Amino acid sequence: MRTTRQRSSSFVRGAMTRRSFALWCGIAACGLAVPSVSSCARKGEGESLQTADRYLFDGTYVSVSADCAREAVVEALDLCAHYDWTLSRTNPEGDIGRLNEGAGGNVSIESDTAIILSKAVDYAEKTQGAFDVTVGAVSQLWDFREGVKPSDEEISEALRHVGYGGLSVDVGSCIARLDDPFAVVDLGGIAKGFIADKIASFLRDEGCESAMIDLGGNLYGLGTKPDGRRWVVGVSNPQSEDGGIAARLEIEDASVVTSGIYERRFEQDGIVYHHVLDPKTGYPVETDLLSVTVVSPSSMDADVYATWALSLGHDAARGALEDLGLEALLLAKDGGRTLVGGIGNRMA
Amino acid sequence: MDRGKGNLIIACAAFVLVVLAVGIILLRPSGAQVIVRCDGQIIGEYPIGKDRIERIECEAGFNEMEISEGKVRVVEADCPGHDCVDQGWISASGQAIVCLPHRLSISVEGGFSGEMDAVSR
Repeated sequence: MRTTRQRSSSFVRGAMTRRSFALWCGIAACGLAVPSVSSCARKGEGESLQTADRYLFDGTYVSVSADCAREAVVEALDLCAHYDWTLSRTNPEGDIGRLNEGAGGNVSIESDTAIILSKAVDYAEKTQGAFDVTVGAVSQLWDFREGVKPSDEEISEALRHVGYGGLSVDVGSCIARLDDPFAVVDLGGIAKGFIADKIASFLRDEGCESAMIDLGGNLYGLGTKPDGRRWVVGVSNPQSEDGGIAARLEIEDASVVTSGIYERRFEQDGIVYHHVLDPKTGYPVETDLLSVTVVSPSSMDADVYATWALSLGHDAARGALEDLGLEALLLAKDGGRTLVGGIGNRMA
Repeated sequence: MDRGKGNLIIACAAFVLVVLAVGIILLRPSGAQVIVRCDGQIIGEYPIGKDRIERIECEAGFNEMEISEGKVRVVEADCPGHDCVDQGWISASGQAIVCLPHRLSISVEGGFSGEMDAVSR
């Protein structure tokens, strides 16, 4: 073994003449040229996609890339901005702002706002209040970016104004009402999903057959890539410190939404507070999961149910997602990964 | 002339080595995973580097899997032959433990790599 190695190394050394060195360099250069050629080809393919991007939804990065007219892509982003304006809790002039300031009276709203509110009530019923858009009375007290935690007293006082039973919506006449003047609607857990679906159907109507909609990590892959292959999306790995990927999923006409306890969070007095609030307690949900990723043709379903599943914890989440017929990836704090509903078939 | 031919062979060998090295670096797995399948469907993935004991319930029965010190085995099962238990530890990417009566497979597989169009977070 040892003699063989010695012989081969002296053989290589002896053979390394100037000419062979030059030849070797030439071949190596050709080898290096191959990846750069293919990356050029990749760039060329990407050029058929028109991209427009902007920061919306209180500072999240939004981008729409589509294989169609530039105007359609820009209009899609304008539509995002419009929904952001009407559905934001913090814009006093938008539908939700006016509903929250409605002092218990009827407020007229756009038909899309009526639809998302009535959907929100449906989800609240399906999840027995674990998803509740009237969590706003509590969520407005927390500031996960600045690290502000309300006092226990403030939370328990605010909880008295949480309850979707006090929200009534009439989709036909575009009217909504919050019975409790101190109740606050916060569409944070559903708006991006609703908007992603709306943008996808807008682009479809505009004749776009291929688009990737990215609303701050809530994704919708419309059709396939322009070259006919499925979109490949990564699921971020919360346990990796260098932005690693936990899985790659191939999608076509489907949304991928991840809800995790690791994105917006802060630490105070040794306790970590993350941004997924339990409407029943007013505090961040306690869970053995790090994140839940749901794949669904409905981005709104994916958005709501990913957060719901996260709050349920591993065992209950798996059963609930299976019952809903959803595909999901559960990443647990102990490092385990559970695949629900055939999502494994999408793994690239 | 013979010497030139020899040089060409060396150069080709060197080229192949460079390509292999680049390929290995680019495709290096991000950590091997233990992939558990019932009836061909993936039902769980666990990092092989993290010790754990997991009870796996396939439709036909249960198997208890142990991951310890970078290897994996079946500790206990209610299948008739216990071939899966007898197989002992596996640890290398590509290896698998199969429990035919339960249609269960436990395999060690490499990580993920490649390009993506977007990232969900």
